[in-house]
Amino acid sequence: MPVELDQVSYTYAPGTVFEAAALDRVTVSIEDGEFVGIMGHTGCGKSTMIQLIAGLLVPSSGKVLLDGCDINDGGYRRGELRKRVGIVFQYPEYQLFESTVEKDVAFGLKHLALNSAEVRSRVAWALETVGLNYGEICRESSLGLSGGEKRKVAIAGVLAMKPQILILDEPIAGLDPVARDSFMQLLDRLHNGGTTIIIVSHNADILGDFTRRILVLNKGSLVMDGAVKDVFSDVAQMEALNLDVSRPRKIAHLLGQRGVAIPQDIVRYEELLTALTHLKKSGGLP
Amino acid sequence: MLQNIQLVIDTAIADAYYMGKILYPENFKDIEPEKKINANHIPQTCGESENVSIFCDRVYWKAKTAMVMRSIDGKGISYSYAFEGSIDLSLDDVSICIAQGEMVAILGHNGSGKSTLVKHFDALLSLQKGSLKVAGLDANNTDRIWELRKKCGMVFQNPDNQFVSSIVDEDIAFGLENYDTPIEQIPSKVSEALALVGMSGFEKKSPHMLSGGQKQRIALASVLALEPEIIVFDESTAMLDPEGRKEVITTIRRLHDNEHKTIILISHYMEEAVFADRIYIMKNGRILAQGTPREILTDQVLLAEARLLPPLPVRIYYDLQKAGIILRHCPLTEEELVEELCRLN
Repeated sequence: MPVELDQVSYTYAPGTVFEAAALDRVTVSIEDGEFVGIMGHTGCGKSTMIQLIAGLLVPSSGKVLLDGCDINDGGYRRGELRKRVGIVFQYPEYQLFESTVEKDVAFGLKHLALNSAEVRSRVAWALETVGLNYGEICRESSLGLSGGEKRKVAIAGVLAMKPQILILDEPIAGLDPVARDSFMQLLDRLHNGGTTIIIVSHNADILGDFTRRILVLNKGSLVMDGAVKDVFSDVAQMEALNLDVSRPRKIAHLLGQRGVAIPQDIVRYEELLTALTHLKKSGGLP
Repeated sequence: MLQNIQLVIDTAIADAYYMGKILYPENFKDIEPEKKINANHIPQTCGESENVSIFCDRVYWKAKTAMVMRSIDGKGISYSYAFEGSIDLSLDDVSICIAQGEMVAILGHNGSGKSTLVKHFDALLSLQKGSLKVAGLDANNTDRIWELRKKCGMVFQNPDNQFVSSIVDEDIAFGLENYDTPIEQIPSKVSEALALVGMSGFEKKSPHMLSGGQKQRIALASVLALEPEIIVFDESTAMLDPEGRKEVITTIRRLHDNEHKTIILISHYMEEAVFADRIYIMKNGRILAQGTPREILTDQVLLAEARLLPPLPVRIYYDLQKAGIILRHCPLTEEELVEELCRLN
């Protein structure tokens, strides 16, 4: 179920003094089962783009296609879209509202014509998937949990719908390093199970470790689209866009500037470590 | 060389202790004379300048906290969100002491109690057990709670949650008005606060039209206008893009270096903690360790126990060591790492 944006533009508050073009003729296609990162400076149009993909905004011009069908076409069944595309917003913990964790996670499922046993098993699956113990937590008040747990519950609510495309807006901000990693491992498992993952993040290390492809937006335009190592290869360009490259990449870049012959397509930690060990053995380090 | 260092240390501690005892007898009631520290306590491997510097850092801090006033002085703080007497403690017998003008980072996994602890500093949570003095004021004394809150400002993760006005200068004036600041003094205090965060000229803008880093600096200016002694940053950079994070961190460091504010920083970014004077590590509601960034961030065992990861240069240092490549010093920043690698011989 590929996602396609065809010349999509979006303007906020058109015709008012606050008129602002958020997205300008963006064309991009994301295939089934991809793991894509979206980067960009604050205000570049990232959130607008994912809301367009999820059908929460209607483009000012251009088309958003899912499986070749225009999702904003009058005859398109929106219910189908909601079932297939799951979106996790920034601060998803703010969307909790039910009296218990179980009710909160089950909220979307209630609209899927499932029987109560199916609902319970999906809720249990979703909670276990995000690393929470169903039996322990299902009767707790969702509002009494810690920040990290609340976020997991909110994400479980989206996962319970078993979306084929999962979109996440800055899902790891505020998580501790270990929680960050285990959350990304979770996305990796979903990705391996066939789910398409689209993740917006400023964290270049995490994107470098987990995604295969990165889209870079700047002032509403798609300025880069490619494999992670290609996007991170031009450190100067990324700096000009006020974006980070992964830290292993940055260290390789700094070493390169000092005249050390280290490969400049390093993205991940292990790659840097291997290159450094290799360099030392071959006498490449001073 | 060794004897010289010992002499310097001995003198510094003795001076600090006796000066402190005369000036602040209240603070010294339970501080033992530091005569226990002697040459035996200098690490065996003292030939390495790194270890000497760690040691001197620690002694310097001891001398400093002994000498100066304390911004935060907490003993035996326990807290439970459920109900008093519950065994489910969010804070479990926490003692913490922060000197005036210090920059302290508090690190720990989600749910380790960092936010619960700092909410006590601002009396957003009231003490259930233990004692706490903030800027010399007893946190238990509800009569002076507003005085305490003026002394200790907080900046949270999401600035959008705290804007009350659609115009920057009105937003900053809000706190001043609540503290009955004479109306004619408000404009100058607002401009001073904006200047401190590098946002002069934004008086008439709408906070909602600003970038994340700018919003966070406006939130900080609202706090600064009240001239607090202590500022707590509770994951204030978590949601910012790299540029916004740099802006905020630079501002925080300037407030520490030039304005001598006491800074308490909660963060999940180890790179931000590198610049602190001292780090506290929390786990499951307890203080697991405290020390200088060099002591704490290079201790792999400790960080693993706290469910934290060392900064990337430290990981590289140890992983290279395993591969038989020995760097002379353990680097804390990317720049230090590159220096060490280029100097490798």
